[in-house]
Amino acid sequence: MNRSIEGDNMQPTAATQTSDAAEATRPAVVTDDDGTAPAVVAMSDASKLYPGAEVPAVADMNLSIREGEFFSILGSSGSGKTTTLRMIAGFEKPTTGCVLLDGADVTDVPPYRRDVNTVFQNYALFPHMKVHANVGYPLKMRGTPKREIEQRVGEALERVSMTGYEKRLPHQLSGGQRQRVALARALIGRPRLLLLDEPLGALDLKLRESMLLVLKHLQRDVGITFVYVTHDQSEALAMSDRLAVMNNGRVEQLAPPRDVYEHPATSFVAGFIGKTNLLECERRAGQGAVAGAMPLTLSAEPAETHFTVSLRPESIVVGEDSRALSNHHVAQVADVLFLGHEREVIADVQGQRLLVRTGGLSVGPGDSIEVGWAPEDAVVVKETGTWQQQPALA
Amino acid sequence: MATAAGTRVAAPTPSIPARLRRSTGRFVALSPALVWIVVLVLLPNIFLITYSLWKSDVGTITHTWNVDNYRDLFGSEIFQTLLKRTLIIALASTTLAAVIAYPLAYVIVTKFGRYKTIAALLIIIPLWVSYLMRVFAWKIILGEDGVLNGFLQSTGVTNKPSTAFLYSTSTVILTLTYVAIPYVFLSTYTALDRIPKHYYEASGDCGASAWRTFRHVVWPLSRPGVAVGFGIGFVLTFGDYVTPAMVGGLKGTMLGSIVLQQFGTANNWPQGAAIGVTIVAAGLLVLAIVSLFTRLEAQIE
Repeated sequence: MNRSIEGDNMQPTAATQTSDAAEATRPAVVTDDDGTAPAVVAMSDASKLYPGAEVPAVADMNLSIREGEFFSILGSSGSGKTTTLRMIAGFEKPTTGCVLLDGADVTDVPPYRRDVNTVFQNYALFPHMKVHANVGYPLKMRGTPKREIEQRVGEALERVSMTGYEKRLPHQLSGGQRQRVALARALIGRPRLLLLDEPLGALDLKLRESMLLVLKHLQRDVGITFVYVTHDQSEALAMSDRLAVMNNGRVEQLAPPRDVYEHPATSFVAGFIGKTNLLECERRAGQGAVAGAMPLTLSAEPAETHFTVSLRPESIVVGEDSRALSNHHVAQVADVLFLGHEREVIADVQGQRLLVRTGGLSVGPGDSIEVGWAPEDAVVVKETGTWQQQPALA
Repeated sequence: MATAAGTRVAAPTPSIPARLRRSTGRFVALSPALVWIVVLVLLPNIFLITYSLWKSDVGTITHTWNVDNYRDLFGSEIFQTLLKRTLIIALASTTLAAVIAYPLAYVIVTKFGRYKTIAALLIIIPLWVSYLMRVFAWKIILGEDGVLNGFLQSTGVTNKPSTAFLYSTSTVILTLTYVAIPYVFLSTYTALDRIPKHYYEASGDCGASAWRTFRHVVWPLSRPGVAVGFGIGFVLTFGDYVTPAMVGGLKGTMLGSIVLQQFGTANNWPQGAAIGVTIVAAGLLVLAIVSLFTRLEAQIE
């Protein structure tokens, strides 16, 4: 997709710089980027410290989200992603710093005067209003004529395939249907920005997959900027033009999904997005290093004496093909996990454990296998700790 | 379910004894409630209605069926005045209580955060004090050498104690308002507290100001609670006779006082019963109207 978007800018451009370029008109979907795109929403050094808390929920947030973008904020619970969203919506006021919508400072503007709509995690449909009243509510608040409301409610419901449910009350709908109604309500006012707070969190897997497609198509059709908060890395990877990975109230990396996956900036990101081997290395001569007792060759000379390397399991080649690679080892199989479409093998290379995918190759504990990888597949990452739920492999 | 030896073969429909046993079980489970309703609600009302259709002949009750008591009542101007006054007093004081209690509950629920339970408790605390004491307190405040008169004299607003504050219709309304507030508050507070915060946020997000959020979301969702509180307050104030007796004087007399009088000094039980039935009927009528507002076709998540 947006391969030309500059990748791993850890400190995204502050809003103040982008707002003056707001005159540039852009297509609904960002296709190129030269750093002058108008920011639909920007946060400048925004921090949120909840009363009574010692650590800020969000610290020094700098974000700049472009017109028509599908932007995801990814993080585990407590990472500050929802607080970030709530600051954009106006439900929380940043303790310091500011929030800008279309270049205008809206830090002190209440939610109802912001051209932003939210899809809440629990949908928050008004329980006493029928579907048509719920969907038409934002227009009613604007004083839109009744006939126009009726027509646009019909259109909005059609867009989310909920035609015919106008007279139902929210509790008479299933979770997925409520979700669609909530989407219709959020989109009917054609906001500049749509915020989605874990909108699929309460749905089961099958429904979630179909809703992902609904969302993606919807965003393409309406061309509204989406800010999507989730803890599900596969959702974020599949949907986003760019995503910000948050940890402990800070953005660890902000880049397009592929860059985040292939070039994780920190050990946290590497571990949170997909599975990886995090190897604690020590520098040796030239491009060489050792992880425990296992020697490895890197693509460039490392800058520090002690550093962490992320090596994706799928980059590790198993079998005879690995002999041609500059990192080549014979490993002992310690454990095998059968996952259906593939096997995950925990292999032991001179005391260093590696998670390897063997595909169709059938191996059992105690077998010897050959493994290897190209030097550029071992990515040096900044050590920021690992995600707790990541199984300890190193 | 049936565990008897005879029902070992799984039958699609339970046998008659099994069904009978099941309905017996249900009856046993329900019996405390049934006993309660029969003994405390049904029987007293049947007695009341029966008495109202008998006749008192200078204290001696003759068991001849007639509706003379009712005919006398509705022919009496005093009774009509009293019925009207009682209705007005009860409606006025309950409405006032609701008008005071609702904003109070709203502010406590929306603004007090984690202190809201304590704040709510402070409002309900007067209920722990004896009813008589609470009414008597107003006598102390409003009486001729009461707190209010003392204050007015010491500040020089008046130079001699006024008797205008006590023993009037408005005194009764004031006192009954005070009595009803905790009940209306409790019911309103519960209703408001049940409305999740994200409805307020969703409404704001849709472009509604605080006032419109209140009008379109908060009020419709809390209205049933207010109606229930209003009903409780109304029943409580409509049949009251202690408050009018203590602070009402002649102009504050309500129907309850007459019932007491008929059963007591006048020793005319049938007449008292007829007034009692009228009170119950009038009360039920108002409650029926109020109950129209308690319906809410919604489920709060």
